[in-house]
Amino acid sequence: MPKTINRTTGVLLYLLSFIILWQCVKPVTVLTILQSERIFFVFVAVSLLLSYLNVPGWINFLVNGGMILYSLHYFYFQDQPFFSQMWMKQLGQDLFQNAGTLWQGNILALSDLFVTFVLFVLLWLVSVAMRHWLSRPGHFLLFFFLALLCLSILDAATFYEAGRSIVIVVVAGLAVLGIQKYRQIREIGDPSRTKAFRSRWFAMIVILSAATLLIGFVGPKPNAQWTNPPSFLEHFSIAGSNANNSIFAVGQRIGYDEDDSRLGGSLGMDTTRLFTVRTSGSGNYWRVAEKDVYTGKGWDNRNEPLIGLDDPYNRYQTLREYESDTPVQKETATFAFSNASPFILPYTGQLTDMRVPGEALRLNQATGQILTDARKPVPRSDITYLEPTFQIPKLRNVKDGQDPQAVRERNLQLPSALPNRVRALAHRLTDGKTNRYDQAMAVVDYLRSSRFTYSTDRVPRPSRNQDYVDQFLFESKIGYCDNFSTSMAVLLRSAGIPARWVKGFSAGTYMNQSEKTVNGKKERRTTYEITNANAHSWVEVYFPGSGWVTFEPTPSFDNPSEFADASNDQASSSPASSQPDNGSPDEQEQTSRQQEQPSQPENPDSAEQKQGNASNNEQKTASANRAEHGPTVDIDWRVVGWIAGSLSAAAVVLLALTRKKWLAGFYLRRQKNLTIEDSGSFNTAYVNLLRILALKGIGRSEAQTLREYAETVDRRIEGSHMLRLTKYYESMIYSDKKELSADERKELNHLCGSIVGRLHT
Amino acid sequence: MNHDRAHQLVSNMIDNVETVVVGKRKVIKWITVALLAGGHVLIEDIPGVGKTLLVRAIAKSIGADFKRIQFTPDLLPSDLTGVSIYNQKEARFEFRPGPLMGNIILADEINRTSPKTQSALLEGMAERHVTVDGTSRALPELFFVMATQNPIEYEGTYVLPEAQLDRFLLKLSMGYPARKDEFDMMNRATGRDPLDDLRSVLTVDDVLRLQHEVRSVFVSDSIKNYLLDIVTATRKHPMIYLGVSPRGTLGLLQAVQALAFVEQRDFVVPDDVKAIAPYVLCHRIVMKQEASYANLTASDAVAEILSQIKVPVLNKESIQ
Repeated sequence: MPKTINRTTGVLLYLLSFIILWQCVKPVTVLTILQSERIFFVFVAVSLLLSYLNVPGWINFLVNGGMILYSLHYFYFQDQPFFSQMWMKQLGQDLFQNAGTLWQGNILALSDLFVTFVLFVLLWLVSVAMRHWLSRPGHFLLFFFLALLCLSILDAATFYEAGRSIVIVVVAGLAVLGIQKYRQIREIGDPSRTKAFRSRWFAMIVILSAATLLIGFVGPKPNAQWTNPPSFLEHFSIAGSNANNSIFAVGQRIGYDEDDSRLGGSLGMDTTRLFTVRTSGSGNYWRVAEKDVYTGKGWDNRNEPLIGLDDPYNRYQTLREYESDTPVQKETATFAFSNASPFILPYTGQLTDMRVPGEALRLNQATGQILTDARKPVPRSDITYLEPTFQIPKLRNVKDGQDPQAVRERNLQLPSALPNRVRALAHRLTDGKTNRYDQAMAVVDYLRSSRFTYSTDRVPRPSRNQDYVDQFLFESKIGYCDNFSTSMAVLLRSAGIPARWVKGFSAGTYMNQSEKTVNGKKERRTTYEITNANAHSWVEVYFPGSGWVTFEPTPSFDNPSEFADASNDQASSSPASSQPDNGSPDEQEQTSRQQEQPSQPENPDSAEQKQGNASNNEQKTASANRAEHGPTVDIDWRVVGWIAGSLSAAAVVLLALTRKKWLAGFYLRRQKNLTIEDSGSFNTAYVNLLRILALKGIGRSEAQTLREYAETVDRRIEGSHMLRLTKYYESMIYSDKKELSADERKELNHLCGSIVGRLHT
Repeated sequence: MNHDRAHQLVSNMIDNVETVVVGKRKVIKWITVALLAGGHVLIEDIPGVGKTLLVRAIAKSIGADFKRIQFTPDLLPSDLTGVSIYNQKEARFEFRPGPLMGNIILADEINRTSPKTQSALLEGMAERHVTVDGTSRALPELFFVMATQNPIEYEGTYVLPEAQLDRFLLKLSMGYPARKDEFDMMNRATGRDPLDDLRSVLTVDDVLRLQHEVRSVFVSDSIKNYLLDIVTATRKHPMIYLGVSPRGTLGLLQAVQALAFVEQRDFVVPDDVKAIAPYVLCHRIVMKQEASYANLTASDAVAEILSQIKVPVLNKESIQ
């Protein structure tokens, strides 16, 4: 009977510890690029199972090692077969190199692969250690505490909502502690522990856990002291995130992706070159496609048939971007695609002609995307397009109700599940404005304000019943272009303004400039390089009489479209962005600025540069006394105080948790230095020994006589030394005899020594 | 008599009695404690568990005079104490001592007789003399009463009043022997009286000297305070109507001294107190009516008190 009980409670303990460990591992699949719950689930489960079965070390090593290899292959080498030497070699090299890096203490430079490897090894070690933790109640407390600490830090410092996990871990942890205590009591083997006792005990565990939860739920809680995540943590990590890329900040790689149905999560930087463009116009946004249907999670397409774009191609007829009376300038551009490029045919402005050598072109009417029949990446394409200049007074003249039916149908769509607070916000932002342009600019201003932070990392993914826009606008307030552009489109649509979401690439990095004489006319052409990091999304708003006007809601990006103000008759271009400290850096200026610094050998791509600017701007707006240039972090004493405070708190907690150990160590050392010479020193030694025993978990209750206690001790340490020693002590404290003979002293010292010796083993 | 010899005598006696009364070492020990403390014992148990055998074995071991009185409802006090009979030849009254005049007396089924007779016995137990025909007659110096009462019969019994129960130092119950001991017992049943082979290992004088020795067993102040803590707790316990009297306190002190002596020590340790206290205290406590609803007996209350009272442990003099 006791054996089956032991097995049942053993299984129960491991199940509960699995639940706790799983709750701690789950955030990894949400916050990092290791987004496979199944892999982690199986890994933790199998590791713990092996630990439970207590298999021989080599089996444990083989199985866990195999699982680690499989997981690493799954996450990083899926393009190669599992049984190939290549990736193993790469893996070996990477581990070797990073071990060196780690040795140098350069933690930020570690590769994702290495960090993942270490994570798995750590999980393995935790499962192995679990056996030890579960065998003694005190030891499990450490794991329990660390699990809660880890979850609460994740909850406070990231966007992971660990609330439910914490509740689960608390309940499971309390249950583990209760079961462990029960096993401990059984071990002592009191025959009065009956079935009734067991059911009472477990009922008590349930009641206590329930009471703990109830108090936790009902009890008063102070309001959040920090924004989520704490802003000082943010700066802290900005300082650190300059190093290539951190696995913990990365959700997916930046780049052009066809599928936008589920947006969200962090982005990792990738500067693979996709194409270069030589254009006669200014650096523009290169659009690839637009999307109309917002689903609450991302953007979808309507299914519409492709139409052939036969020569002569008149895009103007098929896709009307601008009304005919918008001032335009004719430009040309040539794209040269690299091997890494996906199948895309970017264009800009009002496309009038596109040619791809040897391919017939088709147009997806729903998205405005241009495709070839083969749908394979092409080496090169040429376009001719019109670059518009929008008249702001004319934009301001637009009244509601002038939109064509087709536009209203397509570009006012919203999911029915869109939270009301989004609509309310849209109305609040636009209500005071009299015209569509000012309304759009109000939304742009709102999104570019310091309420929101531009960042590609630590961006949360909306949970299953969360709206992507709602999450960004009201909860996370941190994100990148997709967040800003989608939010703007949805806000405008909520306010009744037709808008669409456009994706493509930002202008790219300036490369060089050349002058060419074409048809006797001097033409200046500028070359830009576009990489994955230039992938971008923005918003176009429909203005009857002008057409689709580009707006840029993402901070740190400038609107490439040109606008003309009425007061300024020259068509001086001014960005529609309202960055106060950016002045009016039009594209030419930007180009020349970049021209002035061509000598920089490791010129980072423009997106990264812009990102740097973004964080600058954020810092400036967030706090005026912060450093003006670059992400150099001056010592923030709050951070230092916070770290020092938490370190000392952790130290105190650690000391308190391990007090039995170090106190016992202290008394043991004292015991060894004690020699019994007379009744006084005997008394000191005996009392000291009682303290040690109490700290070792063999405490004496007040109503227990010394002899009863000594018998308990002797049962635990197996022997009769304590009883013999106690008899001497009894005769000292209960009789009138106070002197010790030489033989007795010798005997007493021997007994004390052997008890201490037994405690050590 | 030196300590070692005294301790040797006690353990000899216990061993000797145990050869006859199998597997009842504990009860023998308690009875020895009562004998050495100069108290009396009340055994509450069913007939046939060896009460008489036990007492006779003890009596024979110390070579003492043994008397057995079967209490019946028609028993008169004079049947115990003895009567004066007119001797016609010498023309005067001559005292014929009753069974109470022995050294060791077994008073069987004490609750069957009338209170009048009971009180005659109890007077003798307390006062060490009896009064017959206006003459006070001293009982022998070694006077040890072991009374029994049958707990399962209520019809036709006179329950001993609390004041009289107080006169017994210990109240014990024999209990059934263990299965193994009962098995041995069957093997030994040869038809001969087992007491015939029992020799006496000490004399009445020895016992009297031992009784004197017991009085000198050292009881430290901390132990005395511990005793008082326990006794006071019985007076304060919420379920106890009547706590232990000062006579009980003295009895407990004598009992722990005797126990320490039986355990071959010349000082008392708290374990002695814990071991003997239930037998000394339980029959001196009257529980409240509520206690019976909660199924709480006097021995439960005493056990609870013993598990709560702080045991004196540290030598305060050498620890600041």
